[in-house]
Amino acid sequence: MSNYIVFLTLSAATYAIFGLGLNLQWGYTGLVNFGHVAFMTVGAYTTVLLSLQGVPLWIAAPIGGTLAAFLGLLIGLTTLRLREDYLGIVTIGVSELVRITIQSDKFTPITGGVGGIQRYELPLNFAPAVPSYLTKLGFIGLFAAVMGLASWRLWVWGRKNMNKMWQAALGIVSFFIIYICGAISLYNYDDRAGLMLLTVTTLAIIYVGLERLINSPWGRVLKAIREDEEVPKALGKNVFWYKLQALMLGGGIAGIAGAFYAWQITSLYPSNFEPLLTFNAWTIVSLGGAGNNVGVILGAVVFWAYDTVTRLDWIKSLPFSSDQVGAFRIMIIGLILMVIMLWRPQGLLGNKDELTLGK
Amino acid sequence: MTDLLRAENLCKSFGSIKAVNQASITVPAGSITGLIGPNGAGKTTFFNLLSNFIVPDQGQVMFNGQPIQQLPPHRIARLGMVRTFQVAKALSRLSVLENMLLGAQDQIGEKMWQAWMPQVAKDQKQLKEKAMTILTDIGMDHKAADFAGGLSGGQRKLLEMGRALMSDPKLILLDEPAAGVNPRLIDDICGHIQRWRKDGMSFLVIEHNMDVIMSLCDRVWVLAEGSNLVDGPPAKVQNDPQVLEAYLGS
Repeated sequence: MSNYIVFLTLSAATYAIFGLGLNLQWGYTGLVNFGHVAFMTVGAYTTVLLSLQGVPLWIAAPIGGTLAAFLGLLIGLTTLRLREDYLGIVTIGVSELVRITIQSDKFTPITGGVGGIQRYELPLNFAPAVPSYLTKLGFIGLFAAVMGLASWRLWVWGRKNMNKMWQAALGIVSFFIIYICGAISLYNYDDRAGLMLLTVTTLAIIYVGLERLINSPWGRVLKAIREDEEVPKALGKNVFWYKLQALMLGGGIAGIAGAFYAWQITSLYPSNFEPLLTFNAWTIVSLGGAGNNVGVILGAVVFWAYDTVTRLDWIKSLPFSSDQVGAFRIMIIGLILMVIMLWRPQGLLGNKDELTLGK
Repeated sequence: MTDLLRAENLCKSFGSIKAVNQASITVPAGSITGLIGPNGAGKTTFFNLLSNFIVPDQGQVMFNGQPIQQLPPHRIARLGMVRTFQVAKALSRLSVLENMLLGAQDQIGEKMWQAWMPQVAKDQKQLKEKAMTILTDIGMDHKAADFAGGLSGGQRKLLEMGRALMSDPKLILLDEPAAGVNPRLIDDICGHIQRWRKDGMSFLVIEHNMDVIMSLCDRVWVLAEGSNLVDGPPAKVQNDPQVLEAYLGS
């Protein structure tokens, strides 16, 4: 049980970071990025390749994020002056370009090509040694602090919107369950539990930072660009520069998510970075509500809860072959998306009033 | 009076159509200048050329003694020349107050690396007070917390003007401020414009409503088929045979 929860939390947190990057670009700035996985690929490969050269992980991962942001700069400088749908097309192309470059024969000596990279350093991995009691207690304490803060913020939010109190309560209960399971796993330490702690902490830091940014005058300009970029332009804002910043910051965040993704899957192949990941990020952002960072985190949790539940043993009792089940799982995601678009186009946490407003 | 804005021989073609052909205009400081002309005369395109939303094929624009035709639109706005749009653009999913705040220039926290600074809150508080003063002035303070997307057409026009005002401009270009607005509100809008002019602002106004032009403008420029037809005081222009012909056709 606690292993499942740790896996679920780890996956959801990684995808939540990934989705937060897309949400900054699409949800807040209105940039159509259909190649989000490109940033993740750059982040993942940079981190792993640098760590193979002996660069410490805590330096390698930020460099991965920086290079991903740099990719955003390249894409932005060449395409942001175009209309938004063209950006969408170019970004799909770039994401495939990055993946195919990595798996090409020319770069196989560096990237491992199709064969991938199997053995690389993982963070907070003490094996075969065991961390001391004090270290483990520290980890459990840090985890308590992060989950406690998240619960507290939910509580404050629930107090402000009394009609949403039960949602806040549900969130707090799930945080508590995650905490208990996480704490047990941290006590019986393995590197998965350590990675989960690291991912959740990073997610919390990125979330808080983004919220601060989004609610600042800087964030207001981004939202204005999303609504109608002519207006900020007429009011003296350098729209191109703001879009570039959003693309780079969102890309950098996706690059960091890439590092965590690489550590989670423990062996790296180009096939891990198919366009499906971009689609998953869009699912998560639309599911939770574009332009809502809490919604993105909730979307990631729902997405992975669905994924985990449909991988459990009960599925074998259904009269379908495993191939059919695999196809069904993806079809049902599509179906859920369609239903949401029809009945709750603003996503789980979005504000319906906002969407019904005309331009 | 010195000329705040002076545009000379602006040209813009779209394919073989000469939308604006050798058009000129001057706006003296402290004036309300009108720009009229029949539909399709190129007035809005002319506005776009002045503010560089569309880059002119040729011609020269001077604002406050400085050539601006090479500058990107946002730089022109920062110099103090702010435009509004023919179809008022409210930022729907931002509140009315947020719409107003966007107008303010040189805000601390508009740069990403400043957004965390503690001074941001203080700066924003002052700007909010300023925005509320303007909103009260235009009778929209009770709407401050509402989404701008819920405003009526006339209120959007007012919001656009208020938002432009937040940037402390020298010159506001108004594109049909009275179009689609009820007569009561038109009077209000005219009153506000005259009051703001007394505060030292200048206006260039495109308008089809002749009452508005007559009551507001010091001088009117007439554009027809992309070129200057006549210019002069409103009363004279109103009775000019060339203008009548351009409007009514021959």
